[in-house]
Amino acid sequence: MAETKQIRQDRMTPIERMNALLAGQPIDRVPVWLWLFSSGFAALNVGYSLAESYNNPEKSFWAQLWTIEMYGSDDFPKPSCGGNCEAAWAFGGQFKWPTSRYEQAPSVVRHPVESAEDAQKLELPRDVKTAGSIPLYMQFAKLQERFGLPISLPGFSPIEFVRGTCGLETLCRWLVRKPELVHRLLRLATDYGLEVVRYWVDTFAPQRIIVQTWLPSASNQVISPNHFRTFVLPYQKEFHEKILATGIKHICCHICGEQNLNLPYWARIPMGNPGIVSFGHEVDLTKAIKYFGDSCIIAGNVEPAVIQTGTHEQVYELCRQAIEKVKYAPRGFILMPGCGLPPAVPPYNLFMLKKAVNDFGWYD
Amino acid sequence: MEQVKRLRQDEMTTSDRVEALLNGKKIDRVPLFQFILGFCARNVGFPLASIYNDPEKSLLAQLWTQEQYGYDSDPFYGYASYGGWEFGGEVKFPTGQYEQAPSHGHFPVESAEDVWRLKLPDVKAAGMLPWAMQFSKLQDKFGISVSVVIGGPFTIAGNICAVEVLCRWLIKKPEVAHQLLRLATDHVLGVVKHWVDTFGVGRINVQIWEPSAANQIISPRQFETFVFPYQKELHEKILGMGVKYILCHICGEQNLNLPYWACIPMGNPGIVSFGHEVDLTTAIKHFGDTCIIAGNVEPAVIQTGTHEQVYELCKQAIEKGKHAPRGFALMPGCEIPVMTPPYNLYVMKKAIDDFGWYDY
Repeated sequence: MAETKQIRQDRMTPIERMNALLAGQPIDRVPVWLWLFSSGFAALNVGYSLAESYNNPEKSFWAQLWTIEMYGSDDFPKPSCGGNCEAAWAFGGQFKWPTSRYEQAPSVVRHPVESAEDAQKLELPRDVKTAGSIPLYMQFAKLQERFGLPISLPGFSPIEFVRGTCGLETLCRWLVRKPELVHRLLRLATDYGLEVVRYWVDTFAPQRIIVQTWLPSASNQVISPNHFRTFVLPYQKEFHEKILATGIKHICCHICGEQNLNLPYWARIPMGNPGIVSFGHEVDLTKAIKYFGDSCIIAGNVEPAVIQTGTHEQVYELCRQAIEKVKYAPRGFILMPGCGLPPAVPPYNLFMLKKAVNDFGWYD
Repeated sequence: MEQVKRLRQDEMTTSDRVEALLNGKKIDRVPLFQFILGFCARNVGFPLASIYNDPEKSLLAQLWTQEQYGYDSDPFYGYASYGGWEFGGEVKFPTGQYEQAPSHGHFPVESAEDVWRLKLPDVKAAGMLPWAMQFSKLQDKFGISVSVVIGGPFTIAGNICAVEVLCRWLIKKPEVAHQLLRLATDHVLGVVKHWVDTFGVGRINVQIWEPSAANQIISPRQFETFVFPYQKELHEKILGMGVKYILCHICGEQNLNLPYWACIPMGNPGIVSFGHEVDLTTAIKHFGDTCIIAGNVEPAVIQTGTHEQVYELCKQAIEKGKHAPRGFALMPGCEIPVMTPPYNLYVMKKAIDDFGWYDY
């Protein structure tokens, strides 16, 4: 029989490890999250459909919990109800669930805002409790509450929500041609996001809530740092400040994609104490520590494309590099993919995250 | 997460556990043997066909998957349609999403006349055997047991001609069937001898699958006439070469064949594995005193059932087999289907963790 290396026995449970990490106390090893918010892999791993990871909170919750058990990771089940189509859904657009083998998330069929006139007329949904994916998020949050887990709050970033209402190309055109329209939509989006926050805070104890937010549309692959400063920074900052003013302690913010030139602005946005900031592979984690290390747990940033199409040796090497760079970040480090985990990654490649932590992530 | 269970740390390595099992010594927990090929390719991102036509990728995919899921059986090389290509026919490697193993192209034997003209192939060069040898040399290099995996004579005969043709000949032209079975038996013996000559008798383990002898295909009387004598001769001669153990997979519905199987030597101990159609209590009755019993979680449930169903089947199997006189290994009742949800596979290990520890 071949000798296979056993994963060393943990000295802490995942919840003890996460609580200690958030409290700034010593932990046994680097925690590993297999996915951030999109958990399609977990659904497929247990034999559910991909769509169910977005539209069936109960199945999504259990698929994640079972997959966490199987891989021995430190994730807690996190919702992604509606994927990136929340805004289209909430404001009256159309979208579709993933069904074919080449789809990995819901996609927008028709945006609620297709013209400047639509943007001028757009109003907040009458009741946030029934808008779009909110009932599904709430159902998921109640499962988290029932099982004693951190409660996820969908922190709808203003710029992402605007992208969801009018589409990315239109948004980019309007940043240049019709900035007043973008500001109007950003105002609506910020107010909508804050209404959702209030709904959560009215339902759950704020100290149990972790806000999850992500901003791929703010990356420099899409907009310039100047646009970031004008259109993202003020609204995102206001959003975070008001979230933290409710008593919520932690924001888990995924600074997605190439955002190197935005980092000085991001560093002005409060993330909680500590916040959790995660990065795409485009941001060097040493640089991330420079900007956020004193106030935030750093998370990242194994390139998802490599996890899906690379060899397991490549994945392992990226994990090793990430761990060695950030293991001793002042507020701590979580190893995770640099963005949403592709649902069809080879399971053994994903196992490499855990294996690398076992080989390089122990705090002795 | 308090809801997330962590598996108990093993007290023995896989090699120590299996060696102790074979030597009748105490082991820490029920071993988990997997019957797993194409799934491994999918698990590591290789093309499915590479399990069968690329020995190096096949071995690595299996080793890595073994590492991830923590089971106790080593990689092996083989497929159920073995025989047709080696005797001059054609095999087709899986490419489509509904294929999970090599399948027959054309058969070398289509008529009775073909049988009388058929010659034994060169075991060093025929069909997949060079790949199998390459695979075994890799096993040797990696320090794992060298396996030779092959069908029983009846299954090989049913791969040289179509199984429905063989079944017709059992009734209409028994002398043709016997000739085919003679050739198949001699061929298997030639293959095993080639492995023994190459690696030494102490290094190899022989695995024999016999799906076509199932009572879903032939009657117990036909088994007695066409399977039993050749299978018995085969096992006796293999053991006569000095091979100590035969792992024999008695595949499918074979309840009415069991009294015959029980007269076939398997080694000391042998390892006999069963499909879900054979109750493990019955298996222990027939083989418990001489063989390690392995089985028999239904693969269709592992692929399409819920993980709770898989777990329950594992629990039942462990409870029935755990205290078998010569030992027990939890195993699927046949090959793990390629598209099995990975969590369902993990659940087999979890069930062992919950029910399979020997607390002496």
